[in-house]
Amino acid sequence: MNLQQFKQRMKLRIIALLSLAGVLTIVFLCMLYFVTPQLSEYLRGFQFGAFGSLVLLLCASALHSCFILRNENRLRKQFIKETDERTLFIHQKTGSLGIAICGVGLCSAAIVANFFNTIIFATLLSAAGFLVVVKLGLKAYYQNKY
Amino acid sequence: MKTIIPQLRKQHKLSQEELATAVGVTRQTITSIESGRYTASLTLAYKIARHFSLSIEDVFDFSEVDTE
Repeated sequence: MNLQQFKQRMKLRIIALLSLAGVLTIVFLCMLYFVTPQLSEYLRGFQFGAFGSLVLLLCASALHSCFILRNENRLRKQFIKETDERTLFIHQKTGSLGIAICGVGLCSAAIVANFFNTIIFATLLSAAGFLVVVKLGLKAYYQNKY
Repeated sequence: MKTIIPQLRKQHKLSQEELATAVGVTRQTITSIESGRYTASLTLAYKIARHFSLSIEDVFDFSEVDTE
């Protein structure tokens, strides 16, 4: 990837971030109108906080990207930061190891939960199963790709 | 993997930051390569070697690979 392609990618990223923020705001407003009145005060507060922070985070990230795009020097620095091979290597390592650790953690938690509550056990087992499916899916995809 | 990048940098009066910018990586990557904690990819090794007008074998020590 060169600097010009990175610039295009940054522009696309800004559009994607703002679109996502817009969609989330609409979903949040719909939920606020249709679903939230039936929920408890605690859950309403949690939803408001979670959705609000997510939208704010997305907007802040889009603003940051705009700020970077305006200055060639900052853009070059960001390009190096995002395409640095050691950083990408660390991301790959933490990603694969992270999934494995989460899988083992979920399975262990499911075994422990089985002694106390069947619903929690089923939920944790489903989450672990989903993780395994994602891992295997990605493995199959990348084995075909490379 | 051992490397003579620190010596080459000294000869050319280059800082880690300057070399990193020239080859398109972060300063931390150059630090890790110099200390032997990270092995550069073929592309990066080529860029570094080319920056000093040397071949990859001149910059990186492949004796460990030869003994494997």
